[in-house]
Amino acid sequence: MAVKYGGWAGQVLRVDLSTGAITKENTIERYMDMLGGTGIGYKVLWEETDAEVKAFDPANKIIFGVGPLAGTGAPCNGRTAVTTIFPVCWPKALTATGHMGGTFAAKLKYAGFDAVIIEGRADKPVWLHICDGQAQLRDARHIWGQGIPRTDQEISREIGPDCSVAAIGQAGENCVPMSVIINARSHSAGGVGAVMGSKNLKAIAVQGSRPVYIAGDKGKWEELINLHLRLLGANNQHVVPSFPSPKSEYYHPGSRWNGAPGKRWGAADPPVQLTDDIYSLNRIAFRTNSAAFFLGDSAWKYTVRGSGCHSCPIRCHTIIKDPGMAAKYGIREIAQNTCSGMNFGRTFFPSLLHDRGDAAREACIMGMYLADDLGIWCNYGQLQRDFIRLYKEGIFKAKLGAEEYASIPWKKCDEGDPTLLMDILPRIAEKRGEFGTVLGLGTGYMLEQWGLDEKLWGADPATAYWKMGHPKHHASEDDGQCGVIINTQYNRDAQCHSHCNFVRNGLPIHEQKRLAEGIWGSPDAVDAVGDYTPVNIHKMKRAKWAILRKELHDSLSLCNWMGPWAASPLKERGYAGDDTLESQLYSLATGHHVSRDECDFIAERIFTLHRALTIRGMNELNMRERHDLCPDWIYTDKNGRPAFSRGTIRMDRADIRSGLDMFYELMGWDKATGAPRRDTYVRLGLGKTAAELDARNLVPKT
Amino acid sequence: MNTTRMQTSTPALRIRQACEEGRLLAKKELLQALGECPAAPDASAPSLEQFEEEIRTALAENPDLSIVYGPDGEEFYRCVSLMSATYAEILAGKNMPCLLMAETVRKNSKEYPRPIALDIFEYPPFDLIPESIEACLRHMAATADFDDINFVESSTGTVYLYSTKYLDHDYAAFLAERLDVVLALNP
Repeated sequence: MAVKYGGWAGQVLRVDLSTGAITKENTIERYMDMLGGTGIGYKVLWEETDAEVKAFDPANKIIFGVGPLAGTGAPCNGRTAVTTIFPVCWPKALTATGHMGGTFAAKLKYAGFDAVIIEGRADKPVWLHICDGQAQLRDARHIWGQGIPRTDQEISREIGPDCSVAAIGQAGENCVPMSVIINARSHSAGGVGAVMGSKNLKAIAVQGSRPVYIAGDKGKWEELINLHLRLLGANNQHVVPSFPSPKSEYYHPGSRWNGAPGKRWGAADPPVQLTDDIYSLNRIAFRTNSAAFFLGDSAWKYTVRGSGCHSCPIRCHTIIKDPGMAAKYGIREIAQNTCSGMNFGRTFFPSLLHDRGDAAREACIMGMYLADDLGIWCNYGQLQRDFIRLYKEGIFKAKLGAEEYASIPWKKCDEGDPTLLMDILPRIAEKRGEFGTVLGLGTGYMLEQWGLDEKLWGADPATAYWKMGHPKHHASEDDGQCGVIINTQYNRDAQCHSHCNFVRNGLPIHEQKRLAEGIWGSPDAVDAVGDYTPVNIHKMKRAKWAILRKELHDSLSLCNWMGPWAASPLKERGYAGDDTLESQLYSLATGHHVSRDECDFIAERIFTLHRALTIRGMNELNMRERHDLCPDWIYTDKNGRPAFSRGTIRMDRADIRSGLDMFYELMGWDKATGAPRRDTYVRLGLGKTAAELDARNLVPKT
Repeated sequence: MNTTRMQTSTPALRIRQACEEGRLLAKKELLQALGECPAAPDASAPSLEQFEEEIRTALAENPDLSIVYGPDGEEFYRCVSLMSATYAEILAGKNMPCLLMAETVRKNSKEYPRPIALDIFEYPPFDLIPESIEACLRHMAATADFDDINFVESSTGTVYLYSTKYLDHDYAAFLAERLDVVLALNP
């Protein structure tokens, strides 16, 4: 008799756009060993594509995967992993994932599915309607050419407002690699919009009313949810407030827990004053104001409230309202986003990078309005950093024709005039001219197109370029060798927050070291920022832990921008979180009981399959020399300070090599090449993967 | 302890109530309050020693209460479950703003480690006016006891204070830049 599990919806939807065939597969039978999310995505790409498939080939697949916790009551379960052969990855498109929060993940579960596999290419624009176990392709010609909000609105009108629509804008339609998929207004999956566009798929709309069953004891489930809520801090799991509070022993001005009592959501109707019960589980949403974090205290006046993902109390997508700005520029008065999305507009302007006044706010609102309408991706701010460098160094002038160069209002860039964005962003979305076409390719292909040296691009810390067309994502500037090693592992920016959520949590270093000893075996697993010591095995254990938890989150639909919950705001727990939280949630939801280590073992399988995909995609065994690379800027210091001196993020080459040795050893990978050993594949249940790679001489011989 | 005293006026309740309101109760304030609310209307006025004994008893019998000393030795009381030690130390130091600023800077430099932006002293619970802050900076610059208090500016001109006992200038500059500039551009 088949075992019944909770958590999963039980079916994966497959849509062949070339033939119109729509089929269903059993999730448990085919994908349970990979949980969901990225796990399903990697498995589909491994089994169903080959190394020669290019991003925009009909043979490429794009997998919208969610996990067994999506749609449950577990906090922070709103993530959808969109896995595909990633068009911005340079010099060759390889497997990578864009992640989006919002409502799509939960709604997909309520519609009856754990994942949607899209393959082929439609012969005309279509959108996919998924509802209560059924799916249908529908004509999208009337919305093709429209921006994302209007697409969402039109589809919602057709099928009802209880849906979640994941759509592309004009950038995705035009196969601009630097494009996104967005649902719920502002929740975007970066770098994958053009793959949808290449398939003539404008949107996927999901709705349904099917339940997500919890297999375990309901009382225990509720207890666990309450514990999880108590362990939450603010955005990025910052566990202390940014302000001194009678209720908190610690505070940290760099914390995103900036909702101090007395602050007001000034643009709410009526305005809302934040209360002083900062630990109340019913006031968690008061803690985070992303607009105020990035734009300063003046943003409170324009704040309506926080918005966010399904079942997440953090609400990090702060909604701001500025009627004056709307009237001045003729745009929508409401905008919402967080992090890079919030900063999208201002970071095109050198004069606004550090500004916290009206001009920066206006540029941010303009950026959100345009980017989330056209569906343009910033590549974690690399688009803007490239833009500024190309402009400052006269490269635009040299590479664009005189007429095209003269047609761009550069003065507006110098003056911080946000209407510059009204000019340059449509050029990118429409692939207009050399400027629009090349900037839309992504950094690696841009450098190649214009004959610029990638090594030189990676020598400048301000450009923050890392490798393969992508920037650093919480590397040595946040977490020394741990951050560096994590940034070597992916085919896009690492998108890993497990490590930086811990080191940025706001606790003093002695508390962090005490917690580190409990989880990674030594207080030396963590350094104070900018006071880095030589690498040690405990740091590399933490690096491995960070990556595995990221993959675990991405496969369960938990948010790695919030988790793992290694620390908490709770003094009575010694500020400890609960490192077994994910395994407990998974076990109770599904009824498949696993320990923390067993859960991490599954995550290791998932990440190792990602490694195998990279090795196959590159047709390269020597990951160490060809893939796990660092830019030169991490080995420099503008003041000439040596590595391991206080006040520098400079790394040491031999030390990083040593760190890779340790990391490979912990992963069961060959030290010489950084490729998983055969016994590692076998241990993880990936023996067939090893055999396929072996046939291509892509498994280490030792 | 005088068990006839009204429950609302016992030292323990007064300390807890003050902490709930975000205040720290000074010994002199508590003694005055106890004197204004005698145990019984017809009771003869208790002596200061009796009140002090009453406070000592309350502290001994209530493990959630503790003494906080201000930088000048003044005695305050807090309820540990309602007010953090850090917050209480700030409140206890408000009568000596220069010392409060210096001790705050030292503690932050030592524990986190981090420099502290000067403007934090303008906000609650410090609530110092800019003129007082400026006066303290001048005083600290001219006083040997504060030799270790130094300042550094971020690239945007924000002034941070740090203690040279725990941070050297380069590290303080690095941390100030991180707090003021880097974190907001490194989301």
